Amino acid sequence: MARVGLTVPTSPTSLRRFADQLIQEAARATAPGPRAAFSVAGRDLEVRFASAGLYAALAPAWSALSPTTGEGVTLHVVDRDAGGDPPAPPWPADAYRPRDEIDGVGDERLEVAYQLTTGTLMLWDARARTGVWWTRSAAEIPVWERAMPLRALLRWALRDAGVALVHGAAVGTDDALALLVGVGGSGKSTLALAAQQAGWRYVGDDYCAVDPATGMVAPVTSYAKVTEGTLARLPGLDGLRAPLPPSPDGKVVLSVRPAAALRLALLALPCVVQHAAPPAPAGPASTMAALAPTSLLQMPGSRPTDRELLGQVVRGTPAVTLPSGPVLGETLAGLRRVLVAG
Amino acid sequence: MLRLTPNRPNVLDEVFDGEAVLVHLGTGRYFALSPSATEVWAALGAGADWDRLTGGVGVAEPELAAFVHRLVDEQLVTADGDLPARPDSVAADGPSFEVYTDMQDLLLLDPIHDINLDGSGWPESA
Repeated sequence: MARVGLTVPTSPTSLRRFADQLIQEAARATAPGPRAAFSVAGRDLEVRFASAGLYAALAPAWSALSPTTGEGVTLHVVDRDAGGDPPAPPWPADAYRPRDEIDGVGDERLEVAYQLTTGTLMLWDARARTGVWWTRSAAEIPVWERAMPLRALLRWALRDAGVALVHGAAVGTDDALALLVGVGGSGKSTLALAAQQAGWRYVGDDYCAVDPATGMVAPVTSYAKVTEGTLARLPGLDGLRAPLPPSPDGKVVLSVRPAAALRLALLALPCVVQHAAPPAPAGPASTMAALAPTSLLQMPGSRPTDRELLGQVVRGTPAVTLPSGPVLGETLAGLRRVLVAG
Repeated sequence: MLRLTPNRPNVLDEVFDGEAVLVHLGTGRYFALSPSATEVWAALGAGADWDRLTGGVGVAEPELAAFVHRLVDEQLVTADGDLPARPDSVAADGPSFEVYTDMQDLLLLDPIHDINLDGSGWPESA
């Protein structure tokens, strides 16, 4: 096996030159293509696609988000079918790391990541307020990317605007919202979709955008993912199946129209238990331990600013534990009581 | 002189009401520190060396030494100088942290194999 590698570290100058050339080539590739514009927590984004195939694969996820109100950041989406190869990378072949990170490359001004499984390059230039997502082929975009597109780019772009992309589900009553946070398997999605079925306002089941300054929580996709087990418990969801194949982990993708942004009133830490118990106050450290790791460790390019934004969310919001038993309605009733009590 | 420095930016830390939460981006492990451990962590963040730690945070030296070893073992700090001897036994109420490993699987499931580059300089398809 031939292994190619450079021996010199990536210099800031060569990385800057690479970024400038990449953005220039991506802009050229997307100039004639379709566009999607939407707003997340009041921050406007325009996604420019190099082909109709890319648009068809990714844009539906944003179809129900708020319209834009002004000029925002620009994200270029390109594949090699439409745009050819991106410029050669300035980092060595042995720089690729887990979580799509590239060793020694990237900071809050210029983030770069590369996903080996899909051959996708991601770059965010804070100075230019421009991102590039350059994949191998629109036809190879996996279903989890279609369900929650451009997650890393969105996270970086929102961070620069003071908004945190958090791993959590968000549901609420008319004017107050609970953000359900915790590791996978803690019951976030099931509770959020049970709430949606019960007529609650639903913002998201997996990722949401939180603006700590305003306390508003906004959706970032119109899709949800559930297990067959959740579908069996909530048969009303069956009619929401999206025209997408199951994800590799067997989850089914649903089209769930999200509500507009809502005011964050409560952080809830669900856990699956044998018998439901009333919500109980949770301390800020345990709340941060439920929120931060899953938000920080699942995406490339986590920086101190991301941690600071999450810390602001925790400091500004009361929190409760939410022991969830087999009867989801009981858990939701307990959650509603806390929300109503304010 | 032993100097212990928080392993930033690999470690992201946040302190709430005397309790710190640490996330190690490299190992995928995260930590909830007890109040006395948080006091030690804050002192390290303020630049305290071993001498200042032993005289300034109100923790007995054996417990402090044991805790420092745990910080080093978990790559939460880098040590410049010789660590104190690891004590055989320490009081249970010394500085401590809970370790959470449930997110570590994300990194373990994402190994990086040898990379072959194509003619454009990018990794070949897996």
